[in-house]
Amino acid sequence: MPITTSESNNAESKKPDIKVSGSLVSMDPSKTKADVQNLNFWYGENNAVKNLTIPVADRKVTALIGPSGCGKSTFLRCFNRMHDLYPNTRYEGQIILQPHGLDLLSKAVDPLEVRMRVSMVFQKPNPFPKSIFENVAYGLRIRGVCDKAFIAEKVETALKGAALWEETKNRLQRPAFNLSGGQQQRLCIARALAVEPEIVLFDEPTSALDPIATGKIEDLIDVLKERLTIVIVTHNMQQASRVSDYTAFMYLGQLVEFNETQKMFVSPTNPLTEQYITGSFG
Amino acid sequence: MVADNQSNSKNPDSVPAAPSATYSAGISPEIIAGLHRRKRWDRAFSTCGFLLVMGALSVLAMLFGQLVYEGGGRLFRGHFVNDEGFSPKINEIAGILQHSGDDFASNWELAQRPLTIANASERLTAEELTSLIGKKVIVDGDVPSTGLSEMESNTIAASDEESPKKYSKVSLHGTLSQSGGSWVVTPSPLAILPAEGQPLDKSWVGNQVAVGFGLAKSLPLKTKSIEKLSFQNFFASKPSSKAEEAGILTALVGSVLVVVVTMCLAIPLGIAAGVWLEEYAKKNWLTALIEINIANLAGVPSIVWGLMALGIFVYFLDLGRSILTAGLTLGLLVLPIVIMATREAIRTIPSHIREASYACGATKWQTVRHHVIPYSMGGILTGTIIGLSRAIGETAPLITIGALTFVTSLPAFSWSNPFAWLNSGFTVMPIQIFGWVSRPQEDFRENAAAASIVLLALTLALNTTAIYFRNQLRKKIKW
Ligand SMILES: Nc1ncnc2c1ncn2[C@@H]1O[C@H](COP(=O)(O)OP(=O)(O)OP(=O)(O)O)[C@@H](O)[C@H]1O
Ligand SMILES: [Mg+2]
Repeated sequence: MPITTSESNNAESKKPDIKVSGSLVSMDPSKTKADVQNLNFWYGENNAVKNLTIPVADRKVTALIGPSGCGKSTFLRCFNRMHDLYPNTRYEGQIILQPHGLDLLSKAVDPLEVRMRVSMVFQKPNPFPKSIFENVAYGLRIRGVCDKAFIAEKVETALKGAALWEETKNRLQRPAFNLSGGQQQRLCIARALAVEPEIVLFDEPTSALDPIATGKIEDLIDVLKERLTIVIVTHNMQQASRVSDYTAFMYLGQLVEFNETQKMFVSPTNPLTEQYITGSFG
Repeated sequence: MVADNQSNSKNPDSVPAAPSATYSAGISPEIIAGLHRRKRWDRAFSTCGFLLVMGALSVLAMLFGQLVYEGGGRLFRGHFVNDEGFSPKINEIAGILQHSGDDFASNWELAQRPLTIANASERLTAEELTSLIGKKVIVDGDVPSTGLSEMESNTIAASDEESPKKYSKVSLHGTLSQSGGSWVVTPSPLAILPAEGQPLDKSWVGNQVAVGFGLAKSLPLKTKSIEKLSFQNFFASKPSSKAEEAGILTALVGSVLVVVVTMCLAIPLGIAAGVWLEEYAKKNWLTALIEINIANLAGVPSIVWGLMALGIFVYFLDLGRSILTAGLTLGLLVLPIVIMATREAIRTIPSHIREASYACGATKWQTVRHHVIPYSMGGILTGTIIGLSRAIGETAPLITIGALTFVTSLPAFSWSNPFAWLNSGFTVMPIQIFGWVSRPQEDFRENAAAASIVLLALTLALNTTAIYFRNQLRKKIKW
C-alpha cells in the first residue's frame, strides 16, 4: 500500500520523470483509419486522458495496455462519444476519422452518427433482455429497417461473423440471457457487427470469460480485422501480443509508448513499458 | 411434549436448539461459557420475535374475523324486487306462487316465507311450545312487512282449523317448528283468486310474486295484481332506507368509474414525468428540488388535496361535484406515487444496458421506448397499483369535493354522448361505508361490514394482480 502511494505521488509531483517516448511509428497517412490528435479528456476537474496522439491503423488491431485506472477505457469511450451521455465531461483535441477527415469529437458532429460508424463491445457481456434475434437486429431496427427478409439475412451474417450461428440458429427466438457468458459476449459482438461499422471498440472483452471462450473471441478478432479496424483494451499481455498489430502503453492518462506490437514486446524503449510488460508493476 | 420439540426443531424460524452442541475436547470451558452467553441473545430475540409476530397475526385474525362475522352473511342475502326494481309495497304480500290441478282460473295458492317468532318463549313455556311443534298455530301480532323475517307476538295458540279461512294482517296461521334454538312459524299457504283479466300461466308457478289485494279478507283472497319478483343481492341493490334492501351497486360503480378516471390521469402522466426526470432532465438544483418535493407531495394529507381540488376543479374550473372532479383529485393524489415508483424502477436498470443501447446508435427516445420503459414496467405497475388501491380507499378528499352518501341512480350512459357519465354525481365505497356506519339503526352496521369486506377484497385483488404481473415481467428480464 505505501509503495503504491509513493509511486503515484512521485509520478504526480515529478511529471517530467515519466519519459514519454510517444509514437515510435511513423504511419503512412493513407493507412490510418483514425488519427487521435492531442486528445484530452476531463471528468469534471479530473484530466483522465492527457494529450494523447496515436494513429489507429486501418484494418489492424490496436491494443491499449496499462495499469488499472490509467485511462484506457476513458480513451476508448471517446471514439464513440460515450462520455456525452454523462454530465460534466469535456473533450479537447481531435479524433479524425479517415478517409473523409471527419472529426469525431467536434461539437458539430452528431454523436449518433459516430456511434453508427463506431461500434462497441463492453467488458461485461450486456445483451438486452430480449431474444437472441432481436439483440442482433436491434441496430437495424433503430435505423428504421423494416424489411423482414433483409433483417433476417443481416442477423444471420452477423451471427456467422461472430462464430455464433451454429450454436444459436435453432433458438433465435429464445431469450439471450440463457446463453453462456462466452456466447453472450459473442452475441454482443454480433450485435456490434450487424450494423457494419468501420471501427469496433473492445473494452476488455474477455475479462469475464474462461480461457476457451477467450480463445474463441481472440480467433474472432483475428478474422474480423480483415474487414474492420479494431481497438482493444486488455489487461492480458499475452492477449495483446497475440491479437494486436500495434500496442499503446498508457500510464496515468498519458501515452508512454506506441509501437508495433512485435517491437514493443521484444524491445520496449521506455523502462516503464518494460517493467509493465514483464509484470514488475501494474 | 416430545412431538412439540420435534416440530420446533424442524421449523428453521422457531427458537434455535438450546446450546447442547458438542465442542471439541481441547476448547477451554471459558470459551464455551462465552459462547453460551453470546447465544443467549439469539435465543431471547428469536423467542420474542416469534411471539410478537404470532401475537400480531392473532390480533389481525381477530379483526378480520370480526368483520367477516359481522358482515359476511349480508353478502349473500338480498331481497325481492319487481321489474322496476322496487320491493313489494305495504299492501302487498310476497310469496311463492303455487297451483294444483288443470284449472287455471282457480286453485292458486301463495306460500309465504317462514317467520321467526322473536319472543315466543315469553308467551309460552318451553313445554307448551314443544307440545305445539308440528301443529297448526295462530300467532297474534303485527305481521312484518315484506323482507323482514322476524315477528313479535302477543299470543301463540293452537289453531283448531286445518287451513285458515281468513287473512289478517295482525295474526298468522301456520305450523310451529323449532330450528336452531328459535321458534319458527311456517305460514299456511293462502288461497288466492286471480282478478279477472290478470292472465296467469304455469311458468309463474314456483316463482316469488307480490300479490296486491283489496279490503276483502276472506279466503280465497281476491287479488288486484300479481307481479313476478326477482332476487336482488347486496351487490346489485341501490341504497335504501331499509338496511335489508340497501346495497352497494351505486358505490361500487362509482368507485370503479372514479378509479378509471384516476388511472387515465395518473398512469400516463406519472410514467412520463418519471421517465423525463430520470432520463432527460439535467441534474441541477431545480431537478433536485423537484425530486424532494415529489416525495413531499406523496406525503401530503389527502384532505388537503381535497381542499385544493375543491378550489380549483369545483369552483374555478366549474367541473361540478362529479366523477371527473373526483377522478382528477385522486389522480393528483396518486401521481407522486406513480412518479416515484417509475423512478425507482428505472434506477434498477443497470447502466450497461442503457450504454449498450446508445452504443448501437439509438436515440434517447429509442432507448427509453425499447429498453427503459419495458424493463421497468414491472416496478411501475406495482407502484401504480399500490397507488390505485390507496385511491380506492380514499374518503376524505372526496367528501371535501362533495361526494354524496345517498345515490340511487347509476351514471347515465349513452352512445351519443359516451362521456356524459363524467359529469354525474357519485358516491364511492368508503363513503357508502361511512354513511352506513353513521346511521343510528343497528342493521346498517352489518351493511357497513359487508361493504368493507368487498372493499378489502377489491384492494386485495388489485394487489394480487400487481404481484402477478410483476412476477410475469420479471421472468422475462435478467441481466
Ligand atoms: N465516471 C467517472 N467520473 C470521474 N472519474 C472517473 C470516471 N470514470 C473513471 N474515472 C477516473 O478516470 C481515470 C481513468 O479511468 P478508466 O476507467 O479509464 O481506467 P482504465 O484504464 O480503464 O482502468 P481499468 O483497467 O481498471 O478498467 C481513473 O482515475 C478513474 O478514477
Ligand atoms: Mg477500464
